[in-house]
Amino acid sequence: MVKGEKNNMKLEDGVVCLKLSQKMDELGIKGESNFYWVKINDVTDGNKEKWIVTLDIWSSQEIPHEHYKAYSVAELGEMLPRRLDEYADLICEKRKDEMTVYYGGNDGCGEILRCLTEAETEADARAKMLILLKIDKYTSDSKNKWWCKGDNYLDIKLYEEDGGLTNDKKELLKIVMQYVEDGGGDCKIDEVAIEQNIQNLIDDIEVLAIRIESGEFYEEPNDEFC
Amino acid sequence: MNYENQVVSLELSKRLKDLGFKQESLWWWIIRAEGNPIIVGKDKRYTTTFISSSYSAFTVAELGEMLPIGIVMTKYEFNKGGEIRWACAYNDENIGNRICDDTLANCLARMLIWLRGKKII
Repeated sequence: MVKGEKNNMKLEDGVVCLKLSQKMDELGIKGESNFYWVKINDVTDGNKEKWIVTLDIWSSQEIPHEHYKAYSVAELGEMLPRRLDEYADLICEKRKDEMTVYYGGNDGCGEILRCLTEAETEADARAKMLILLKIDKYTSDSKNKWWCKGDNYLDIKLYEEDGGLTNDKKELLKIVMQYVEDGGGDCKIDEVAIEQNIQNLIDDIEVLAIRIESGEFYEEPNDEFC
Repeated sequence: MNYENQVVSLELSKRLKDLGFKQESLWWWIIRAEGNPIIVGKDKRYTTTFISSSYSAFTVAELGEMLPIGIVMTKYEFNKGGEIRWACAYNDENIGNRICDDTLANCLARMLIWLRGKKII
């Protein structure tokens, strides 16, 4: 296939996936969208329940029972803040096999990275960033706690919000989260190879907490004043 | 956001077609014998009557698929006047360029045109 020519996209591929759409709705993230995930009974397939993406073409009497806004890449681009602070601008980057969204830049002393999300599609990477910014509000006071927060951090926070953790794990989680907020960053969680699978991530928190407490990952926190 | 801002403008869509980009997309610009150009879904393209010409109206997601690895996009404030625009760049060891436009779709379309001009794609 010639580079620059591949294009056989479905509507579903250009919008946020259903799972993230539901999460955005649950968290009260609001924006304009021309598209919706709608639950239907497919009469051509034994009345099976299916989720499809449609345009917002129904009248107020016809609004389907269960539906979620399916934000497109362009719509998500409008919703994401241009920058978090004077050093951290929104950057979207196409990398091999994934799209990356991050807030970063150069503060005069070096590269900084406040947060980063990745996904197979651009829409999902942008949606994850919006979710991260919603569950963990960025303020100028909390600036120093924002160092390389990423997908692992987001996964744990969402899992925590869903009440999926036992009390023991919650305590361990505090150690990990404190470490991330003190400047360890999400990339350190990656170092112990516990990404992708949320259950593995939770299972490995114990190992990670022990390693953090032993000082194995200790680094100077990002210094605002260089 | 209206539909028109989600896809490449008519003018740039024409240029993409002229440059030989494959006309395969979810949305189409339709020029009818009478009336203004309209955007229709690909299913409607074949049922709309009196079409004199049509052009793929690529979405941001489609353009993202067509662009090579290494494309970077960012938002910026134009002339510090509060107007937000989009910029994208292609970073290569030897080639770098920055392209700007009011909408992300048009910005990426301009990048495709530039890359084709440089024979990178």
